[in-house]
Amino acid sequence: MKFLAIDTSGTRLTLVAVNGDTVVKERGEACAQMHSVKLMGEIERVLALAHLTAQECDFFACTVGPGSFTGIRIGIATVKGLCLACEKKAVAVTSLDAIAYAETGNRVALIDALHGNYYACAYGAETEPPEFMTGEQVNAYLARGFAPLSAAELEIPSKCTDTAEGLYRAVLAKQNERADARDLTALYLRKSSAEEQR
Amino acid sequence: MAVFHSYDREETFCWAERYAKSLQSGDTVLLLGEMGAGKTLIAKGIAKGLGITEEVTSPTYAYVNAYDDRLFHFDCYRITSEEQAFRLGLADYFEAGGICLVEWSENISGLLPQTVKRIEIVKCGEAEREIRF
Repeated sequence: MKFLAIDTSGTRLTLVAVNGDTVVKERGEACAQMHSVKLMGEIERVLALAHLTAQECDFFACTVGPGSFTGIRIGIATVKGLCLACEKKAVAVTSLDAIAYAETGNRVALIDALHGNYYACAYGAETEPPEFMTGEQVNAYLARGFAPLSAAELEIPSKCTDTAEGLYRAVLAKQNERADARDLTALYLRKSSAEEQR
Repeated sequence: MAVFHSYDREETFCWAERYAKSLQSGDTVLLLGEMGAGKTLIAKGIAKGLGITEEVTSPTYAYVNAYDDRLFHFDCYRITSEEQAFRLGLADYFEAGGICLVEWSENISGLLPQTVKRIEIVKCGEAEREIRF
């Protein structure tokens, strides 16, 4: 199996290139919203490391959120372009998947949504849809034995996982959920304006 | 909190130019005050203090103006919800490693960084201002 997967939704640009048994997993340093500048060069570099070309990929994958609005859209747009050019399909995973799939067991993946709020998703015995949660809602999961996982340090003590590994495993798990790249939809998970006003 | 009493626009501008020296990349400053208090004037002074040569204009219609990729000047007066602000990409500027100046920040409070600086401008007369920072 051959694929390229990218995560541009967070502060660290992450790429995975798989060419059969050759697996390249790269998680960059914090790059302060410079994803659009670095991305294509990094894609070329990891494809070369995997001795892979874009045309040889069976599909392309990206995280569709939650996270940075601009970052999410850069990733989706890039994968759409690759898919259209190479006439291949796309696999969508979430940035929470990239955190969670690096580990096993009952766990809750967390991304800081500021002011005591989190983008969160529970995995394990019960895998639920991702949600925008308050700190209290997250603590309720922790009280039920879900281990807190994250990509970076949070106010809630959590284990920082290897999100390059997580991205790789998440895409493997969802590799048969291939769809037309035009159907890639961003997952922002923000409160709607109606909910804000409540 | 410190206070500077300014008697005219030029004093306010020069104060802002000096204040800029205390700012570092990653800082967000909320510019608080009623319409006409001098928020944009202070933004112009800060820009000068940071060595920005491009003219600073009001971001009311653009929502945010970017200078040299290191100074981002917001005006959230026309923002109707945080969801709208998020979908304009405004939240991402706070992670861009620059200095952010935000007018009418009340409209995007949930998107602001945890730690911010504040400049509050109180009108005491036509050109007289009390600047609390």
